[in-house]
Amino acid sequence: MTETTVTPERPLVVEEGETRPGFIGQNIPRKEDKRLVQGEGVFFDDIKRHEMGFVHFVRSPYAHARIKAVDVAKALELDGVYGTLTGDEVAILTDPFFELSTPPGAHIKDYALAVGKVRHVGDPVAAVVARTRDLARDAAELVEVEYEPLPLVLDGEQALADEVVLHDDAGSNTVWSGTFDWGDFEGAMAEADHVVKIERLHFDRFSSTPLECSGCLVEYNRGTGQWTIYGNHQMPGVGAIWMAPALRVGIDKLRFVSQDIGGGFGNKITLHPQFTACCLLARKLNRPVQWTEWRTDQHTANTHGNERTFLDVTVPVKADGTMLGFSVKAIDDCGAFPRYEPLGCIIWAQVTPGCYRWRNVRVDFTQVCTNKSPVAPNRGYSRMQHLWLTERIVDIVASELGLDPVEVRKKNYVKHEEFPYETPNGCIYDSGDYARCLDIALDLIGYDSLEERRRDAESRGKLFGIGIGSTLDSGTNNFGQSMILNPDLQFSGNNEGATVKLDIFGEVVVTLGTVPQGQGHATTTSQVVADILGCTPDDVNVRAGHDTYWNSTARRPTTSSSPRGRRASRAIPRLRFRSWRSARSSTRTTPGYRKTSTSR
Amino acid sequence: MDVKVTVNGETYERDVEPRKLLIHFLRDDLDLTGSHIGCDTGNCGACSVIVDGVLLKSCMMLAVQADGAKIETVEGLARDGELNGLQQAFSDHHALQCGYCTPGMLMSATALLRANPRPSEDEIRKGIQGNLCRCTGYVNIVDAIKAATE
Ligand code: FES
Ligand code: FES
Repeated sequence: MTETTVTPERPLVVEEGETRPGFIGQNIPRKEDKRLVQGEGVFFDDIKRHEMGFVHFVRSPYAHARIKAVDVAKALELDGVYGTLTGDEVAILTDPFFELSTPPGAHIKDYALAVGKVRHVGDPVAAVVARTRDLARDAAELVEVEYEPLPLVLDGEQALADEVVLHDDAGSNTVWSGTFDWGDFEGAMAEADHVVKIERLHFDRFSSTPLECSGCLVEYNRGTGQWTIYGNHQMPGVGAIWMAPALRVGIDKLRFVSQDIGGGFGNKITLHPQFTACCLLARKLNRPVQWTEWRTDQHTANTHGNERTFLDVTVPVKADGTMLGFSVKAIDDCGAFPRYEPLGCIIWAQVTPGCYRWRNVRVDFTQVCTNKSPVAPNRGYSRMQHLWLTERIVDIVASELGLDPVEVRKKNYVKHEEFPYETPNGCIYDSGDYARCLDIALDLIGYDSLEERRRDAESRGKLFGIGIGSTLDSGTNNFGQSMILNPDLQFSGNNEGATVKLDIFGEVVVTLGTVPQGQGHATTTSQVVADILGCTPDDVNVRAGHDTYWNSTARRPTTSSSPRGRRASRAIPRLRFRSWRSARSSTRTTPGYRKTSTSR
Repeated sequence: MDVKVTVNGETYERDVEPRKLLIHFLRDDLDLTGSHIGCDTGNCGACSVIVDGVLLKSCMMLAVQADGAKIETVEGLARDGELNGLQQAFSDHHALQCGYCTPGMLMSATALLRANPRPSEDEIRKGIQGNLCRCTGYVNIVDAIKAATE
């Protein structure tokens, strides 16, 4: 093989008393790069099928409106148009996607296309399939939709009033609400020398915006009733459990395949509505259909990151700046459909105290729908909004008490000697030295000279801001947590399978269930496997990408690194039993053995 | 309309719709899928190619306008599977993650280094200002281009 030959420097303890050089933790060249720098990646839009049709969605120009009529006749008259799909058909052919939340959110009816009503600008109302991308776009313009505009609700606080309700079936804009109460907040208030109150803080909507837009190529096999979806859904395992029941088939009828994905960041986790529409079209038209989202559509109507309003923040503080806890009313705005988002109502709790030692935390959390495009678990998902709150609290406390924000942080950080540290809600922070990290960061940015630079900027009529944020994040997720949200939820999120096998020339072949979007899974996995089998990463071919045929289902990227390694390592003992080394040496002496030229 | 182009030394002749973009022609008609599409407004640079020696965003040109042109794309950079210095530098300096922006970055850097073989950091940054990367950030990309000049 041509890649990666490195000599391990760091010894790896294999069995007690036995050490050998290890590859984990070493900087080795990425296995992915060679093909990617030659333009030899395989992204979904690179895949073609004979006679495939291109899909274009007709989208709502209104944020909230009743759909009075959809007429596709003119579009169908256009030469080269293969067919259409409307919300009325979707309502007959599918069931609504299941909702994660308990009521009222559980009663929301969410389909692949808008049924009866549009609830955000860009809400897809119909889909057109044609011979070329441009023709599909032309035809989409010929679809006539009659709308009756309705009043809007665009703000989380306003949504709580339920004066305008998005989902009549739910009867309320509230998706889920719950109170989290840890420690003794009243006790902390009684103990406090000061109580700092913050009326309102707002974390804005955002988007991580991967460079590759969303999309898929879908084929339907009439004989087996199976769909193959070459797409960039970054969590097909969850996509499948949404799509299959909606399509009234078993999960086995949906095969998701991906190799390279051009960034995901969470924006590609809730593609099930569009993919379901493509499945219906592939079956209806009996031809492969391809949907590539246009960037303008991505900005308008693909998923964004949650917006969160924090009201009545109350922070009991001692005179020396020790913070005893906080209480807050959080209103999370998930846009028009909650989809994955009820999980955001609880996921922040993985980092309840942020980096701080406060023990008394009360969060009254409500998620609501508004007439904006739906959100999805964008990067840093749910924890980020919460950690932003903790950092704002620290700065405001420091400012109100006339204290140095750096000192307030250091005073309240979990101390190095306290690790492993159990948070008020029972999470374990394994290790850290936050005060030292902050010192290093301040040193690196020349914190001591910032005031001077601020004055200098001022003298030139400019403003120079200084902000500090110290956050931590959970390295992996336990989706068992989802049962806090809904005790009946059968949803673990941990359902990938890795396989490790020995190939004909003695090379080790690994398949992973993960859906990489640039994280270098092939490289890191080869390091883990090499260390366990006592070979080199060169000897390990990691099959890039995901295929539900081999790997069941998948999970999210920010959290995949450690479980991935563990899954691959669990797959190994049986193979090791067969002794990689002896197999390898026998193939080396086999006449006709030659090295394979690549380790894809 | 009939379009005849040379791409990476190979001649292609196809009948194309007059409104077809050069990037769609390369990707869909010629199956040269190395150049990517990241936007519909000419902002991202993922589709950058060199047409008759000039760096261009191929989503901003019609295929018919390229008739008779000599086009260079990412597929033409390596020789017999051996990466060129710039490609190798991208790998060595961890200048890519998902690799979606990479073909465009490489073509912009190629054009830059031809015009200016020893660019300063500022000049490198200007040279790739039409290319967006959403994963890696630009520090490593700039480092890689700098390393390729050494
Ligand atoms: S595709 Fe974005 S600039 Fe061409
Ligand atoms: S590496 Fe993903 S966009 Fe640049």
